[in-house]
Amino acid sequence: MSPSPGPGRPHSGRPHNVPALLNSLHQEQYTGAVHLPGSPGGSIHLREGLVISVETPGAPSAESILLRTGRITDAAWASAVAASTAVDAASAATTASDTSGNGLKSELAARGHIRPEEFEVVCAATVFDGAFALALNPPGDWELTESGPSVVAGTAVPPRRLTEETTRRTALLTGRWGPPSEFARTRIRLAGAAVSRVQPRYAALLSAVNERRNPRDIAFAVGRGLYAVMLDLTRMQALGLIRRDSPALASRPSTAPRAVDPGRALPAAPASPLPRRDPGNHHPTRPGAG
Amino acid sequence: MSSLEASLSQLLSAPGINTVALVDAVTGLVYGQAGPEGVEGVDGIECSDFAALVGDGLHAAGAQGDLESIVVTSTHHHHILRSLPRQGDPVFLVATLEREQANLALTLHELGVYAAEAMA
Repeated sequence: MSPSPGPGRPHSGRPHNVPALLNSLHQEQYTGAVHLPGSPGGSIHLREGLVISVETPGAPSAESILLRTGRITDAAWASAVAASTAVDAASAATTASDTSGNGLKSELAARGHIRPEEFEVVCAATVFDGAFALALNPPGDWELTESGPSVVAGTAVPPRRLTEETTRRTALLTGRWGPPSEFARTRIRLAGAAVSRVQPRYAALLSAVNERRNPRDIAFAVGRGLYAVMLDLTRMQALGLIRRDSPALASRPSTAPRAVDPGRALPAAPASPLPRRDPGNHHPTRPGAG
Repeated sequence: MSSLEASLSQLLSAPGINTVALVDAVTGLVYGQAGPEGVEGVDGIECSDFAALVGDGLHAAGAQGDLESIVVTSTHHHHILRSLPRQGDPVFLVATLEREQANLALTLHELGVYAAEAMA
């Protein structure tokens, strides 16, 4: 078994990609973080070899989803986090076991904000969603670091399950829409179909479509997971509710007829007739050139 | 065992319930499940695709509101998908019942009670 790589050092040894690295960290029962540079980049947090959190600006976090949907207020969240951080720090100082992460779940439940079952569901969903977001632009390198005290964790997922599910999600979206990395950056437009007979969830997404937002923007706007939104968008495309904005057309200047500003006066017709072609009489070397 | 799996295990005490799982209705992710050792786990993807098919079809036909439950009955089993109301993406309780042992109406009621409390 290879020695533990240790925190704070680039890990460019045997694993050839992030899934292989996570599997090796699982075998080592690693506790700490894997920092992934790039865009969007992020951090994968492990405890005893299991993934407990994935943080990336590429997908909404558990905190973002709970606050954005109004499930928990900002003040209630901040208060619970502060209290649980203090409890976890005190516990870690007095016991040999690492209890970080469970404190927030218990604190939120004790204050009546969210039951432990639902907190686990939200955290699990964001772990898988974060992994999916990171896989859209796989990083070429990584660094092992220590996890900070503010990691929001409510679940523990074996890395193999995480990478298998990420692979499945990527393949499914590729089949339904195209490469997910491009899909996530594609502007979504309404397609004009009748919206009166759709599921409330689709109606909410339609309300978030504003011709400029891509699926990632929509996910953050409505406080839902990136993959869940992209999956729903593929279903909505099949129903004729939305369509993609073609990236090739979006990069060219528009050739569409321009509507005249009704408040602007049209230019007056010229007094002299417009010039006309006189074919055959303007060749520079032929006689008769004008 | 997570809080969720401990909570789901309590549902197994109802007569006739073989397995129970909590599944994301959009992504098909299985958040937790409980049942006898050796029993094949629930296919969350199939359940979510099926729920989407039924939901889309109902709304296209003019139904209002959210899908609450689906019951599929085979020779020996009832297969139940029961939605849990929550703020956020819908999740389903997915339960398999032995027809000879379970009272479908009573089980649906118990699942409904769980649904009302679990994500409150």
